[in-house]
Amino acid sequence: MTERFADDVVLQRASSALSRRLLSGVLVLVPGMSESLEISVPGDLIWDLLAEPLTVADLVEALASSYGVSARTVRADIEPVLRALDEAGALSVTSALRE
Amino acid sequence: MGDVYSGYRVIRPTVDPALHGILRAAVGHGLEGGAPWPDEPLSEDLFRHALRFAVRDRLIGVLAEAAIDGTLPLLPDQLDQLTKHHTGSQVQMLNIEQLLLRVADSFGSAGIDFRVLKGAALSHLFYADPSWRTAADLDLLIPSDRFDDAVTTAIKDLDGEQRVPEVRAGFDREFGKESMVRIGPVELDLHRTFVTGPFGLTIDLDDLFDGRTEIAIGGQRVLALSPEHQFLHACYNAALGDYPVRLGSVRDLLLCRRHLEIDLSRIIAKAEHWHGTAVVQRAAELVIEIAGRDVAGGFTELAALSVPRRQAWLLRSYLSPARSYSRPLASLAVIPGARARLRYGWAIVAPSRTYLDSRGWTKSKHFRRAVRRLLGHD
Repeated sequence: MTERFADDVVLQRASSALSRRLLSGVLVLVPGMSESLEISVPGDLIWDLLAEPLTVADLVEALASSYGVSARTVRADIEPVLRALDEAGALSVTSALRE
Repeated sequence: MGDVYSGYRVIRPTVDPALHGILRAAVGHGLEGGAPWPDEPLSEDLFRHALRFAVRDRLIGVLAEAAIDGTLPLLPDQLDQLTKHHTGSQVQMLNIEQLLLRVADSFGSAGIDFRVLKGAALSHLFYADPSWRTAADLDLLIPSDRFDDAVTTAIKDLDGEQRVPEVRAGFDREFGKESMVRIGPVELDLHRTFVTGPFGLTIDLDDLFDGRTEIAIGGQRVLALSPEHQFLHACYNAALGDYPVRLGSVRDLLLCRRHLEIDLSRIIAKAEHWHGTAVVQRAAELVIEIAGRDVAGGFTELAALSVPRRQAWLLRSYLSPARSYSRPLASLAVIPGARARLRYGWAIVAPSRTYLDSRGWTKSKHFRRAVRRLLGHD
């Protein structure tokens, strides 16, 4: 996982992001984007979990426990999804939770 | 009387009972007393028909909701077809919301107040998830005195295009229901009142901006109507918005009733004040006819309202395939003042050249078309 998504980094949906649930995933649109971004199952669970602020480590753990796979596998799988959401401006990425 | 009155069964005599059962289950899905979905997946033919009707009646979202909660059994290919339709509908819903936020910025800067109507509001207010409601356009209610400003702002600031101009200059602001401006992939419908025709002209429009309901979308706050006006708008939309009635509008009304704490006696009083008792009564009758008496808790009282004879006569202008012409004619009966009636009548009989050109009509073609429709020859 790149430094941008290090374990202690806190992720959350950007407040300006619009989304809709699909039968096959989730659709995300950030004002200014010309086309919506479709995240298919099981990547949509990332979007569901990020309704609340979550560290990358907690996100990985939640997904690993949901799907019964190792954290290492989850890390490799979620990075492209996180990157796509981040590039679209759909994520709020901060270095640590404020106490 | 119900059959003739509602126009629902009259226009759909060929809808087979199995399809009718599915549509009925969709309208009342998740509501107490709602009709059950079938236990087994539908036949290919029946599913195809159900999908077609669901698109037309804005029920694709409900089918998706029922598929995801497991109450609508589907074969893999049927799930694929539904997924395709539902995804397309939600792409449009996000386009609509994106435009709503742009319009909110632009109208905010111009000091133009508005209220969000229909899908963009109802999906957030009454549906279990906004993804279970579909819409084609963005509908906003604009105060009459800012109507022209709103149209101009949408065209100039948001790069909109008005493909069908108003019938004659000043018509929309004084008598019109809406003005449509195309902005990218979305049509922005700027409404002055709830419906076209006589019942839209007797609504107290200043009333509509008295209350409000806040909706948070994309980190911004936009306003919808007050609860009472949301319910009345849902009645007007279900009863008069489309002919034959659009089943999604009946579901909107049912969900509206379930979620809103409203005093029916106030609804009845306001409907009387607007000369719209017939509208509320017809909406309630449609709910009972389509969704069934069991799901219709609270609507029996409204369906039993006594409708003044004059309103029943005006209502007939909406229940005809010639309604594009019968409603304007009936409107003449409710427009106060001879001069205003003359302005209205003249605009309808002799639209501007720009308007006729946008429809590809000549004056004589417009006249002949109106006569043919009114005589029932089309």
